[in-house]
Amino acid sequence: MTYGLTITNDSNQVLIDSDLFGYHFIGKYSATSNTTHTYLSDLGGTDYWDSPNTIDTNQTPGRVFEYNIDLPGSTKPPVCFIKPTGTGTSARYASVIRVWKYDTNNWRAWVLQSSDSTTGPTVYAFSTMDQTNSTVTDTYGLQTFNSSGEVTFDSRRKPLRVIGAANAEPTASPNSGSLGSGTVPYLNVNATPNTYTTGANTTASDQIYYCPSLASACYEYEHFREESGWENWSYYRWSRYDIWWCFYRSAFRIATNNTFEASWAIYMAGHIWIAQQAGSFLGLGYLNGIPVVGAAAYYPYSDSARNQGEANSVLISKASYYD
Amino acid sequence: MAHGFKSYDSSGSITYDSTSVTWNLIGVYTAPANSNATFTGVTSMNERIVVRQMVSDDNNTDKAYVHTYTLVGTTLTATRPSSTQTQATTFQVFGR
Repeated sequence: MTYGLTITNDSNQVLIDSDLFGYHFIGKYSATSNTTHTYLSDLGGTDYWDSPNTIDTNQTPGRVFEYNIDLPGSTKPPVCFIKPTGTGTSARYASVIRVWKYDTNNWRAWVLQSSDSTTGPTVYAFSTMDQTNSTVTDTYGLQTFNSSGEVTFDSRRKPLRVIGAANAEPTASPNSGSLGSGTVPYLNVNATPNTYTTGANTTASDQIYYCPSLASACYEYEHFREESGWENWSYYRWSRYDIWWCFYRSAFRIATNNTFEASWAIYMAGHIWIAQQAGSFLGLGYLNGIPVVGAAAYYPYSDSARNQGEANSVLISKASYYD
Repeated sequence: MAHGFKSYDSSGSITYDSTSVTWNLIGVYTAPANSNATFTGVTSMNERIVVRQMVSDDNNTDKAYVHTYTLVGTTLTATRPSSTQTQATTFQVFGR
């Protein structure tokens, strides 16, 4: 730079550079609503068993929390740090799975949290100075300006202070072992999480993290059953075909003062079935196969993962800096 | 701290402390859905990290692909994995 201010530390890391827009705190947000996402579809047919017709307890979806972040006139999405509802190696996983411009004044964000608890995380949102027009009244502090005269750093607005970082990606698959047996799917997440050192080295319960979810996965368990005999005067043979599926998104948690874990949470759970009865041995074969799903039911995609190998950077800060 | 600086608000609370090795935002770049993109002029610093976030108001694209990327010198290159199912991706490049 020809003019301006650069502050570096003993490691030559740049702390403040007046040419760069730093992120500043814009607010702390609680969820405005929450929901679970499930999909049930009876694709028809006379059903001899008529069971099970529900989402199984072994495919329990997490809960999606929606946040409204007011940032009038902005064009860049806010950075949404998550303050989780708990920390530790048994804590719920959570991640930002969706951010979009809702209207001129507001952004919306979805945070997925594993488990069905209605108590959601808190979002700490940050934005650059060129994206906010809020006013501050405090007359003490430090401001830096770039060559265009724009404020790039303002100590009165609680600049983002990062205390740790890592590069995280979830395990290859949310599940290991069998995905089901008989009419019981085993689709809950059972993977051992990947663990990363963050260098945060401060009380876990005070930490907040930024690591948007990139990866998704969809896995299924299929079951076909058929029987024959004299059910009644009309039917001799009957069958039913079920698919249970779960759509997962990568999710994260603060494990210890210095570690961060990456795994999965169930974003949506589905169960689709179709049945048939016949008076002869003929006419039941079409039930046995995945094409029945594509014909009439919602199904994200079959038995694979997307963006799974795409590691994402994690930033760690402290809630108490902004409370 | 032995060296460095702190800034305070008028109530005496610390608003910034140079012992916090914060990451500065170098830039925000958005690659459009289903397209490749190249961004130049990305400031070089000792260390840089990139955080990606898929941005969409379409709930049906939550199963989409995210752009892959390379950051070499001052050029950020975003590549679509799919020409039909890649979501718009925001790249936030931080440096220090």
